Amino acid sequence: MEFLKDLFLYPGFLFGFVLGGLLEGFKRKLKARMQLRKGPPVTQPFYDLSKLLLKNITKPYTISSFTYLLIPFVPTVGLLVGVLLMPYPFYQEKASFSFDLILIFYLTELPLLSQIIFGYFSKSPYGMVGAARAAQMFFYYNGVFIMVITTLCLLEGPPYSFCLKSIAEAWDSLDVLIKILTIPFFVFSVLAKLKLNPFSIPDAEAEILEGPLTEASGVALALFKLNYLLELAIFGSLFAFFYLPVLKTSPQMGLSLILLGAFFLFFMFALVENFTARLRLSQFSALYLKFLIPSATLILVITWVLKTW
Amino acid sequence: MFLDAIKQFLRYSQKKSLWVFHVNTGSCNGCDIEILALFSSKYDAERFGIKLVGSPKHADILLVTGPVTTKSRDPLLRAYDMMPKPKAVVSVGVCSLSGGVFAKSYNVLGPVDNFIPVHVYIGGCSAHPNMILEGLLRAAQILCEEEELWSF
Amino acid sequence: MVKLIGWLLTNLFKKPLTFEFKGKSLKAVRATYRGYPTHRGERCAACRLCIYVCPSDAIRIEGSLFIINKCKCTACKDCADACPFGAMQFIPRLIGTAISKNEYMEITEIKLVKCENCGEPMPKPELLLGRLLGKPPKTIPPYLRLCPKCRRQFFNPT
Repeated sequence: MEFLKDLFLYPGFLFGFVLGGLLEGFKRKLKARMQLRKGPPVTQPFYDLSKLLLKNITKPYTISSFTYLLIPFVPTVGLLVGVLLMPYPFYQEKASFSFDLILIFYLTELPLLSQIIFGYFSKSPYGMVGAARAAQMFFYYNGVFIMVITTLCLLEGPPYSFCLKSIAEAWDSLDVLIKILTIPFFVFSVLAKLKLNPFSIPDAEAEILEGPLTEASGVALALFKLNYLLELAIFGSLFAFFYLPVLKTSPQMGLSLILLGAFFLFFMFALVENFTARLRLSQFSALYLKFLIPSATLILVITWVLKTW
Repeated sequence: MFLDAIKQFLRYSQKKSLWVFHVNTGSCNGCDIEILALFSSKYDAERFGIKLVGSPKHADILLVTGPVTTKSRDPLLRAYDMMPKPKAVVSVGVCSLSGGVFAKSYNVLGPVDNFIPVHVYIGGCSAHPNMILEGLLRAAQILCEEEELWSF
Repeated sequence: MVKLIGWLLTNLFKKPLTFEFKGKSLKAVRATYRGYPTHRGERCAACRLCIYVCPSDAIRIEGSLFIINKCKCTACKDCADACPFGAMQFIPRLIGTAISKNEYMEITEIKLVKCENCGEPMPKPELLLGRLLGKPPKTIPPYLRLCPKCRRQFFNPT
């Protein structure tokens, strides 16, 4: 009973869904306001999702309806577990998980993997192009993301266990400096992970139709959108855990700090989306290979030297 | 009782979130430019939840500009068939209503409503973005209230 | 790029440029907007020049009814240029949306006068005289109130 409550109410489904939806709506609203438009209401993602639930499904006849719904459903379960793995206040005292950052990292890759599989499975040429692009991008930004995670886990002391809780509690002056240095790399890799504007290469904002999701419709599309919202919630709160003293204060204060951090991250995303244009795949890989991965590695080495001496 | 309330809410959200797929069946691009102007700051259509999507499988509304030509008839019919129900069709501009200046041309087969059922007509050469917005909202009303569209 | 970021951040505190749209369309368009043709029945002589010049066959005359099919009209203004009496007028207004095509038929009646002798409909004599003299006529001679057939009889009563 307690577990079901965790899974469906507070750190689980409802919290992640509502937080993700509000973050997405907030981002769209801010983006519109920066372009001097009025913008959709903040609750717009919920309308979109609930509309999709009633729609008919038109699926390609080469794919069975069971697989059609299973592919987007698996990452939903994965992401729910991923939300449970975060040390949210009011929940981390009683939770029996070890808040493993590596596991969260793998679970947040599931939606993208499912999109790639879906793109290839649907046999639509646009889906295949989108899936191929997503699969190529996957390699580069995860390099940066792994560097960031490793740098942060070096902060916590000798038994390096990739525990999110101990990373969030590392708060010395040197730690703060290193954390601030890793912020741009975190933002860049998350931008690419969420397929936001400078890196919106796989779906290209309706230019190669919808990328891997071209053939998705009805409930399957709703599940994909739900995955996206859960991902937003996970990365928003991950930002707060990394860079804000969430677990150092009282639980109420910590929860509001998480919300503050998540909304601040999406404010930055709206800004970046507005002043950048989409890169080509070659430019994207050059940016990551020549600039971001080497400098992230440099920061990792510096941290290691400082911490072990 | 409870299920009815949920169903009512889902239908209401259909009204608030319209995903539009735009098909050009051989128009002169005048109406296409006006449709792009619809998403600019002045006529901001996104505040009503209207969004251009790339795939007909995501769309609620098919926005057709231009007369149907011999080459574009099959793509139009296929895009219409791919759209999940409930769906509505909005035809924009004089060309899609009657053929306009292209009528009686050797490759023009006729207006759009000879091929697929059209729910809202928007006249004008080219249609004013404001009227396109009004037509889309009218189509949303039809999509929300028409019982016929929901039987599948 | 820094300048652009500055603009974006200041835009957050400005009023949006978007037009208000409360259920209905916005009424006023600028006076330079061309708009759509409106037919004025009292100035029309039913000469059918507009039908002749219309490139998209939008105009039709059935009996004394003058029908503009707005489904076909492309607002090229040829009819207004061709009309000798200024019966086609362009008013800056928007063409609306419709559920059925019949709403786009704009039907007006041509106001013809009747011949005083036989009752045959004929165009107003003031219009023709005004066109001929270049200014509105002061008096109309009585033979102009007759249709061409009766006029011939009026001059050569055989």
